[in-house]
Amino acid sequence: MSANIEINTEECTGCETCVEACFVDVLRWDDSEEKPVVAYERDCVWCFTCEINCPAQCITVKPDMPGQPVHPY
Amino acid sequence: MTETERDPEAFDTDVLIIGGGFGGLAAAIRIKELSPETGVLLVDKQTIGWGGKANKGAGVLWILAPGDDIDAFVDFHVKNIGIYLNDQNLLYAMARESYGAAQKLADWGVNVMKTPEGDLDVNRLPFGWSLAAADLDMMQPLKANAEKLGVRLLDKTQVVDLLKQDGRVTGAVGFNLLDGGFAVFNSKATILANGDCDFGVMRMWANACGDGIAAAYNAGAEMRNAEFGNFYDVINKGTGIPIVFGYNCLYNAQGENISSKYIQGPQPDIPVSIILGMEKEVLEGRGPIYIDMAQFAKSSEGGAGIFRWDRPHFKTLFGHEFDKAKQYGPPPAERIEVSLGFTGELSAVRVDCEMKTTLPGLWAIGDTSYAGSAWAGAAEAPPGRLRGSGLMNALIAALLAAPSVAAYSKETSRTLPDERETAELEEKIFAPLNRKRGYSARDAIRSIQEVVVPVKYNMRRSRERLEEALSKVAAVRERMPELHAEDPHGLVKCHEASCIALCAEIGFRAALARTESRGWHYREDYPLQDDENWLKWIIIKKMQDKMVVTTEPVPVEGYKIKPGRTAAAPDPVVDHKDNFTDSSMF
Repeated sequence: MSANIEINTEECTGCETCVEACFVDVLRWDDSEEKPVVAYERDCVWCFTCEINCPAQCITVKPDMPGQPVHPY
Repeated sequence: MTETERDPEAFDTDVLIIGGGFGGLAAAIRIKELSPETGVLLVDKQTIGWGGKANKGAGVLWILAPGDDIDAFVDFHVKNIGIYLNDQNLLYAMARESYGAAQKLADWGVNVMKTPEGDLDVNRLPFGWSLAAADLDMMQPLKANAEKLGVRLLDKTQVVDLLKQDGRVTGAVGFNLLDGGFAVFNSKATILANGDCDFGVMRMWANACGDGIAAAYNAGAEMRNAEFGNFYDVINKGTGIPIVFGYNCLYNAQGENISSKYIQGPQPDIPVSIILGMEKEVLEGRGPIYIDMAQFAKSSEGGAGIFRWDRPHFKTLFGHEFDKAKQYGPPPAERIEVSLGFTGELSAVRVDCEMKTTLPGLWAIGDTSYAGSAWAGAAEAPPGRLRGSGLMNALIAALLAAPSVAAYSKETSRTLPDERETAELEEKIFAPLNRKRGYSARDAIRSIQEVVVPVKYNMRRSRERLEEALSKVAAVRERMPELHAEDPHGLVKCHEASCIALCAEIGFRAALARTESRGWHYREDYPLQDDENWLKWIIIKKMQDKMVVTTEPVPVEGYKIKPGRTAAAPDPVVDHKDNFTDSSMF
């Protein structure tokens, strides 16, 4: 499981919604820039909550499908 | 950061709730409704209002609606789902509370689907129960309600261990994910609401690593029904996304319908037989397995009916996921290759009808104790072959726990933390940060997944393979003292790895002990149900640093539904005919 996450910081309004919405601690807040940063991209589970809830629609999550790595048989 | 540089942050509260998901928020709200003067602190390792599992599933609520026959439901459940391992008193309580609990959720501002007349808009299912539904923005009104009632919320704080004095739980310790600070909680009553163990496999349940289960076990609480923490479902192999109720429309590579081959009669949810059947087809060279999407679309219309309600957030989330799957997954087709997705859902903390654990001062609700409460019996819980029961279990458990938690916290005094115990735990918690190199938490988690995921270890179980699985788990657990973390984010992974490995051992040990097949537990070497010897719960507890497995008879004599004679039982020497209720079930 992982994903590529792109944040268009030019469009970002700095509302922090994405950081709050991320339930796997992938996104963190950069106090100096007042913008979100993709801190732990490999832990993204592509729930898309940040992307869906971004008011400026400036986040793109490209999922690394499929999601389950271990073979069951 | 070294130990001496760390400045512990202390939190005093009447009630500490660990886990700010659906159940934790519901418990916090209910306690404040019952006892506004009680101080409640809700802590989560991520962000309250967004974390947890409830807002990432289908949002359906299992209920007994007006017109549903509660006695018939309990009878069906005990005989066909729980297979006599239910705590039938709690099963009745859950069923009785369900409709009112769903209404309560609506009262709290959650968008629960209603008819124009204001009643719950329910979908009646063919097995004698119903589904209501809530929209997936449910966490936000719950959070707002909790804040309005004065609940203190604390985000980004991982609770690792419980504090105990004189046998009573008196708080907890953990750390802050952002600054790595040590956190000490001093409480009169503590509720574990931080979910079950999904072993880090399925992406939407990534946070459910058994944190609360491990904390309870390490503090000496009993575990129950841990052998039923091995849930599998059908998934789209190309995307990994579950296809709930897809088990009815499966074909092998030769075009043979394997659903009708392995499933006998209508089922309330995915049966063990199709999981074993899928593995058999693949191992015997008739794979891969496909799902007929046209047939699935048709069958789904009458299934759980999860698309029948007008739920804007549900549609947005799943519509978005569908669009992404089209863009980044395999192209849509009439036949889609499927696989088995292991979820796990080990939820074994033992609780009573008020959600009290076996440790004074400690309660456990929601997925932390779904199987451990025993209302679901021999079912993989959640979903417990009862879709919508994950949410309702969390909600009703919160409502059942709240009065006793509120009363207990009023009659109990806070005890100051033992400084020596706290210091020892602090050293243990932060040890991975103090190692310059060591065992990677990701490698540890991956090694455990390679044992819990394969059907041969965790569904088609046998003594030989369970012992092999336990030996692989032991090899990982032995290396826990070598875990290494670069920062607090990595420290979370270390503790998750430790919890996942512990839960794997608990689950496999319980599975090894149950030398029969029952409900969701299948033993290839003991393929029959054995009521003569196994109307028992398996109890697991830490004693003097050892994992001790014992059994306890299920008090079926005191329950309404009693077992009849099973195929596996020898001819009775004693006449048990009074116990026969419906031998045709066997």
